[in-house]
Amino acid sequence: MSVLEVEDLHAHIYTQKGVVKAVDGISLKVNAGETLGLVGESGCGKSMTCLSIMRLLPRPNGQIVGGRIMLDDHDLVQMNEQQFRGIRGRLISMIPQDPYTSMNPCFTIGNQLMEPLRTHLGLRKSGLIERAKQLLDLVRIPEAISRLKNFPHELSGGMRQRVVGAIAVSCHPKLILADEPTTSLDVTIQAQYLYLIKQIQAEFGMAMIYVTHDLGIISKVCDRVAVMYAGKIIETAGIAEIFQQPAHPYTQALFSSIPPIDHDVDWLPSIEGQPPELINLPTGCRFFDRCRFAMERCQGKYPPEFQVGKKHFTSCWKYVL
Amino acid sequence: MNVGITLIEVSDLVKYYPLTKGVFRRVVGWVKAVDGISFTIPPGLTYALVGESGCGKTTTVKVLLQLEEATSGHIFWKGQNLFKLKADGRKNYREDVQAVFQDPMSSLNPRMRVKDIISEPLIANKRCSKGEAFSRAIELIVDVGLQREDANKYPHEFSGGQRQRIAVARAIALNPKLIVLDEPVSSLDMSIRAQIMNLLKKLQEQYGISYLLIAHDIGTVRYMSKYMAVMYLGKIVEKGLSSQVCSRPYHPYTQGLIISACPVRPGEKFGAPLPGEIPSPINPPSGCGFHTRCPFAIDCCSNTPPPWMELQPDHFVACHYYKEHGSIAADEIQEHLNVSLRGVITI
Repeated sequence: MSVLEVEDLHAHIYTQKGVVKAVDGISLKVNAGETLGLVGESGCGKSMTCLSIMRLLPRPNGQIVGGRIMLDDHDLVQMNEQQFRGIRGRLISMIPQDPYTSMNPCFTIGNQLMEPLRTHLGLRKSGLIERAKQLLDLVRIPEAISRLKNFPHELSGGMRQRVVGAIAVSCHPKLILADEPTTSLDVTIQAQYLYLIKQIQAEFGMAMIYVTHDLGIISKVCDRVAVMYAGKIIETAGIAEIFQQPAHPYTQALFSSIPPIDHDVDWLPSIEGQPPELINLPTGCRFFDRCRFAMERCQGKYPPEFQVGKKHFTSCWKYVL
Repeated sequence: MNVGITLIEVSDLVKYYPLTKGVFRRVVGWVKAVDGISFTIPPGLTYALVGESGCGKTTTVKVLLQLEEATSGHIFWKGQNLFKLKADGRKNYREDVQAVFQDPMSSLNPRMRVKDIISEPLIANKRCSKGEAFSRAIELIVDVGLQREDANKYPHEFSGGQRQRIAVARAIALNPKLIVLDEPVSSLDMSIRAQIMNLLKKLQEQYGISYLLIAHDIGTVRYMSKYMAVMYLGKIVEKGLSSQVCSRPYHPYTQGLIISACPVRPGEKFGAPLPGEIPSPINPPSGCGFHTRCPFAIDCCSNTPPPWMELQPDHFVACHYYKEHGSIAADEIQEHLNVSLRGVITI
């Protein structure tokens, strides 16, 4: 049963230089309780996909120009802002990347933690404090009651990000969008955070979209992975297939260009060149000029999605006979 | 490592920063940023310092680049005491030791053309005339994989990876003996990282430069460096050959770092992470700094600093556990690591 279904989503950003096609026709599905990893390099549109789902694209320049985003029976694109406010933070919530900028420095963490509880769940007074305390306990913050009166700057980065996590799960949402929540944390603190996220997810049975570029993290939290390149999803597969048999040449090259920890390599094959500019996209395959297997027809038309295994799809002409 | 062939030797280096209070700036405490570290860098090879934020890697670099004065300890540059060098020797040292920083956006002057950026060290050190410096700059630009025409462009016209190439070209302009690489690839995208790492390796072979690599990513360190040292709270806890330290880490902290960073194989759950957070370097824990988070801590860890032990040739670890249990502990702890890595310890 899928919680979220995105169909042919297009999101554009209008700039002085031209139209940036940040998200250019992506479709994805997230099932209940499942974690979908969204992988790609900067500028490939993974964050923009999240912001489109949250309807938080930069205004007035960013716009969803086509496609459907279905959360159960609600079409999130057609909704007006008033209706969407009942969804954002209630049914879908987001853990942004940087806990230093995502919390308001002028309010206590208690205040920020109670805000969604008050507006969405209608909790008041003692019930509110009780629930806030439970949430801090859930994310393993000791002495919860006194912590509620702390301001964000009084907490370490790891603790702050845990508070942000607590705010995100406070109303038992159906879907959490985690946009690289651990990039600003240290490695050992990052491991603690991932461990915690997995536990909470298992407890509440939420679906999650986890945006990252770190293969170690993907292997730890994701059930399925979608790889993005220049605004499109180029490959989706289960976690085992993506590591054992990556199908798209970009995925293959990307995985082999990351230095391994558990064995020595003499030389890493690197991907030469740069990703294309999103203002000026080629008509054919977007990986064409960096691809080892590039053929003539790759340049002419964008490849359709092709099934290469059970629940394993890729957009590459190599697999189309 | 053989002492006879070292390029730079850091011994017992200490750097404390004072904490002051009131109008008279009374000293009320010390931040123990680097607390007695020793290592040696052999010529033509890469030495890496790994650790999390606040462990003192950047402070070490600052002292090494002579941007900060050491509180105590010595650095020997080709056998000479660096802190006692005369103006002449210092100038030579500064020419011989160059740096590449993390963020190529802020380490390149936005108002200078690429050829000016790269030729500036040559001109400032009166190595050659302006004209020669420019032609040398063009050679360097080609060497680092950019185009000849790029010489007249400004830094903002390049992508992050290309900008880091410019920073590398500037660093090698004076034919230095040592380049300090402070997180050279962590601000770059995944597919670009391998390009820059390969470029650095190629240049090392070509010019025989030593690198001091500062990084937090174990994969990068293993790929780039011959030797590595793991730092925690201003101290080195484990050092040795990179391939050995990464494949057979002894110190519980190194193990924690590697377990945290290593991908788990499909279908396996990941091991329990290290508990707790890094203590403040203002009042670091007594004895072994890691005992507050260590799963193997024993009584003596909290009061006596751990001794150095050489468990394998060229592989040193500072941990009481091995002192107490000897090589049996080494196997036992290795077993624990294998178990954690394979994820038998499930959530």
